[in-house]
Amino acid sequence: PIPGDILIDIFSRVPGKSVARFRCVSKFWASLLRRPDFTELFLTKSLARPRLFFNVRVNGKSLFYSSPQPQNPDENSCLVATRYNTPYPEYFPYDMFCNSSICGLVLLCGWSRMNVWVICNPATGEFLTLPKVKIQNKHEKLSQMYLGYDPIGKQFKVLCMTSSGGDDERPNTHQVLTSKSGKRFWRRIEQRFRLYDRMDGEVCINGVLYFGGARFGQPSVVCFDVRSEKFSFINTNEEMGEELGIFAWTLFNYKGKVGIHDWNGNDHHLVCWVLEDAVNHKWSKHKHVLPDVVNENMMFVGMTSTGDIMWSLYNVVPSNLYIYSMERKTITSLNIQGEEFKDDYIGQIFVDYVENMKFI
Amino acid sequence: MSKSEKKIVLKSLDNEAFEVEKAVALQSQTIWVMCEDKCVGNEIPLENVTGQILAKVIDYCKKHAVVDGDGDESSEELKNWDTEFTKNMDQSTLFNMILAANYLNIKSLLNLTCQAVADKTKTIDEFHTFLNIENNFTPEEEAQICQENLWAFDD
Repeated sequence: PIPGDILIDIFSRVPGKSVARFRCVSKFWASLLRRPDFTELFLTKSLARPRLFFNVRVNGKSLFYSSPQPQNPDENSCLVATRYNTPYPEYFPYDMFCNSSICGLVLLCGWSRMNVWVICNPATGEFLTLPKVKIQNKHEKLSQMYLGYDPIGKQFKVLCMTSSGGDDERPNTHQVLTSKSGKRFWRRIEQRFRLYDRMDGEVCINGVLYFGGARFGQPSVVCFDVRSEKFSFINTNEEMGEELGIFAWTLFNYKGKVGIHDWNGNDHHLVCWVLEDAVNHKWSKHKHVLPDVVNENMMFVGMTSTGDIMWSLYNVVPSNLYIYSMERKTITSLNIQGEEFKDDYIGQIFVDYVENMKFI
Repeated sequence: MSKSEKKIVLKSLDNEAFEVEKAVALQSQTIWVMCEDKCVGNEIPLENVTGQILAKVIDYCKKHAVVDGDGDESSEELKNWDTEFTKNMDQSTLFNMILAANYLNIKSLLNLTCQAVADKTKTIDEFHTFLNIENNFTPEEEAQICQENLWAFDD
């Protein structure tokens, strides 16, 4: 018979859904496929085979799917999507919105009830509602939550940013939630500062969470070290801040660097700013001429780890995804296999989604 | 070094002999150690591998000995070759290949064959049959665990 460690190796290579299926094989496998050493190995293997994650609103309910991330797709390639288990808690707002995804977890918030924030692991079907944030200063309100991951300590943290309205220049207090065995609570962070006019998108690279907004009237990227919980800031320069400024910007992962996609009236160009040197605030500009197919109805989704750029058609049925290869300078349309994608809108899409079978 | 020293003879469980280049055979860590120890002559007996499987392992090692270390294009070609290599193998051959790769300690072949089994094993029945695993749940336990993982069976 095949030795146990080889069997474990084999099952760390199957899709997450098959792991759930194989738990029904025998008592031994049911417990083995839940063991931390297995889920750790599964995560390592999973990182090498990134997927696309998307949610689809079917009959008013958000369903989660993932598919293999295409590499060098042919014209009219078809994606085979796998649906995840979504046993929503009963009190859940019906219009959950996927905010971000890091290392297999997805941060959700209620669209109509912004005070409900939930972490979900689609691969294990777990939902965790975050404790309510207590804000002590009256002039402050919750502005955004961010999910970060520290790969060294293997720990997820949620950052809660507050802001104050109008011309109120007072610095704001921000809080962090640590997901530690069973106990979850918000802690205030000593560093206080004011950030307003939120930039779209966020990325977490090597344990540092990056997101954007304005500080002292200038668009800035905030860096939050997930492990040490220290903030630092990267300035943008005058050349970058033309026209619409940060409202046309989306932060994304540019092959492991911080990138800003700039949609400032560049219909037929892809303009990106890439952070080359965080200490000296140095950005490089990348400009590509795009094929005519790309138009203003397309939403920039992000860049895959292999350097392809993804767009989705906004609120169009059937849902369509486009992938642009910077190397070959070609754009390819991708269809998603399945009836539900013919009649329903795709909500949010994340590239480089990693299946994680660890329990929250 | 004379010509004969560059070659090595591998002998299978069922006494089939294969003469191969040393560079081909030494991709196996197990064979490498045996040669280092000089405890064997020019002929190495492999008591855990049948001739049918050994022939396939040698095919793999020959392909990888020739192409390794070349440029990008050939690594792409090698990948395609690997895919074709395992594509039409049945499960029992694949399992024997895994055992052979493990015994001979050829890491890349072990990776390839494990991935192939992972890609091919989809249903519970396949799991039971090929891994020779017995279902030891009581009916109640089985009903419960299947209920918990019901979503995994919807396609």
